[in-house]
Amino acid sequence: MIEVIRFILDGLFYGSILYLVASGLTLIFGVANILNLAHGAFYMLGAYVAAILIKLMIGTPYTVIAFPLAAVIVGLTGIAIERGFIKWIYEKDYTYQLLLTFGLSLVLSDAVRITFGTEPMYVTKLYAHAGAIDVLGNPYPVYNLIVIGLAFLIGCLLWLMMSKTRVGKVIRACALDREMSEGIGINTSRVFALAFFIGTALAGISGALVVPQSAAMLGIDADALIQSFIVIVIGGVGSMKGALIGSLIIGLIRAFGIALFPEIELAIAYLVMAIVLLVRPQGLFGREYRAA
Amino acid sequence: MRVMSEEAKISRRKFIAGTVAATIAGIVVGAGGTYAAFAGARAPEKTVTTTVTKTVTTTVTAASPTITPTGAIPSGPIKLGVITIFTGPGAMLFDPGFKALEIEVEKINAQGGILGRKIELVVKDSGGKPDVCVDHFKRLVTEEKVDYITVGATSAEACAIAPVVEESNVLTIIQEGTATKLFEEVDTSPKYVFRIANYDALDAISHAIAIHQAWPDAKKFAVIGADYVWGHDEWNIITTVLKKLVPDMEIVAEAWPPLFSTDYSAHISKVLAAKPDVVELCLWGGDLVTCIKQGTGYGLFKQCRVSSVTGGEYVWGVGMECPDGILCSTRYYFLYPPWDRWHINKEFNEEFHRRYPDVHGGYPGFNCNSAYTVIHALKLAIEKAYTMTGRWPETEEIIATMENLMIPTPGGYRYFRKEDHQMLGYAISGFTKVSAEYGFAILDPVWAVPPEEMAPPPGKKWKEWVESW
Repeated sequence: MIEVIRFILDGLFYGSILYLVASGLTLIFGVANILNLAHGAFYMLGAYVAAILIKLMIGTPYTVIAFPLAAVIVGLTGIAIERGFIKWIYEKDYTYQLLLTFGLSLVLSDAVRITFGTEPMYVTKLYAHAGAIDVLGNPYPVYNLIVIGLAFLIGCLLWLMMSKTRVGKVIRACALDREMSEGIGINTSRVFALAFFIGTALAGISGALVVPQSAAMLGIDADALIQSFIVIVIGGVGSMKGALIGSLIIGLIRAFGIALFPEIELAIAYLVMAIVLLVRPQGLFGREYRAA
Repeated sequence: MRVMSEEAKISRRKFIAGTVAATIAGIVVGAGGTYAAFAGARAPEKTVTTTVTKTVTTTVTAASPTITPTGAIPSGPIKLGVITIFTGPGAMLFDPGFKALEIEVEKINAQGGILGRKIELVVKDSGGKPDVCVDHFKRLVTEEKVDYITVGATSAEACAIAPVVEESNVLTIIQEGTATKLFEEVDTSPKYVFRIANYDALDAISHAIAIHQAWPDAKKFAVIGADYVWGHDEWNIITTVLKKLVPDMEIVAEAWPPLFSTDYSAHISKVLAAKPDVVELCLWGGDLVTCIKQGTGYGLFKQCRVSSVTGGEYVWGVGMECPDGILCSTRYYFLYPPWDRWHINKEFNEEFHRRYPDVHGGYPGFNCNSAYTVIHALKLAIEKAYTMTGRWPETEEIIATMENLMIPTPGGYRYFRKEDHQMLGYAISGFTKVSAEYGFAILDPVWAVPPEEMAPPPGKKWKEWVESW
């Protein structure tokens, strides 16, 4: 029993991190119709920026500010890149955006390497200081629970924003039909920039949350990108609800998969994705694909 | 030089004793003088003395055919090709090694180079990709026309490059590239390829021995290992050795996270559920740091004993929060041999720390020791070969000297084995203990497993050897 609860918590934790990255990716795709292959690089950037900020602030009561601050910095970088590069290819063929965003991912990860060096950046104290609580007689790290709670909170805020505020309605309108939105006087270009800000900031906060219990290191971008692709394919590309359900499915299946079928840990996520694609090609909550 | 002049005195006595020898020596002095005039910048007395000494000794004592020194020491610098990894995740491993190589090359050049020739590095970045590594190698040989090459490479790169090296006739010293199969399967009778670092099988065998030494009562083992060829191979070797040492051992859980994972929660939960005596963390770099950090939150270190085949220097990343008592092994450890007893290690560490206080925790790792060894082994081999040939040695002559070469390195004496061109040195194991002085966990106590106990004899594969115990 204790094991099952642990695996559920482990799954929720992994799913939470994944949800934050994947929701950003799916938001950008849903609104701006850009499949951002550089999304993993923003996640990695978030980790490095947070590591630097935490190192600067550690020991002060302001350390927690490092996380939202890292997200904002990454979000602003996202806007800069959208305005500088991606803005010019909205009307172009998919091939252009794949080439451009893949190129950007290489440039960004090299920029991270040149700026921060090749060695992983570790931060100490935060994870250990959060301590552990007793879950049915065995310790469980409090930090994991904080991350689960935070992802839940961010998820709620995103949902509130998208469904209850004017900004959210505008974003959804642009996602549905860009031309029509322009027709009714919405500045879609600004909306796209906003979507990039929120999307990349989500990747940034996710990367930042990984730092205290892991490290900011080169190579984490690829895994984050692939995993969040799997999530949004399962959930339905462009669907925020899909990102949530997809992350939870992957998180929980991974945790139980590791326990029961360790040999196929890497394959499990792909298997789930393959099954979903066979049964429901547009994903669990996806719209039918528009003719490109 | 002091040793040389004593030898010279002895030789001079022999010189007077034999007239034949004297005649030859006379010619030689003449030749030496001519050479000295050619060499110009070099101090003539020094050159003549050295030449006389060597030739006369050969003539009188061994009565073998005289090697007439041509005196041909090329005037240009030695071009040493370096292929290593500066980009991609592998850079973390090899960048500090390259820094150590640079330090040593600068030092040697400041002292006049090798036999008066300065070393010039021609550096290429492979990014850890085997095909790029092979391309760079070919270009270094054909376009840059380098004299020798050293490769700071991954296992896959080493295995890809070895057959190409053998066809190129360029002496190539691999620093890491520690795939066991390099000399067991890929290049079984190497001629131009040498390898410095203890290879994976030695790491695993010595680590398994250390686990048994540390915890002879342990029977139930579990692993959290990186899910790629290295992780699986190491665990396979460790368990094969443990089965020999503890016949009733059992493997109670295995968890294989992919390389560069940031979350080990489920893996830790899984091995904890199996209640093992010892959990082996077959991970390296940031992966190991992450797993140790997260393990602390799960009470992993309170509930079982933990070991790591690579741990030595990677635990530095966990800082002062590293749990005490993790059994770590490594190929070189910065505090062993102790600085007060092995000055090379002290100087090596102090120089690295002075220059790069922020790189790699501020102290050299096993890659740095390998890089040091490459350049000093090359220097020693060339100089030794020169004392026999009296001229700049051919690659084949350097190779002949290098086979069986023993060399003092920061990590103690190490030697090349003639049969498979593998260098052997002892492996280090120890228990972590946080140190306020360093700001991270050092290994204390620390001990060494000698090569004789962990290295299969030449020509024998590790498996046959371990199973014959």
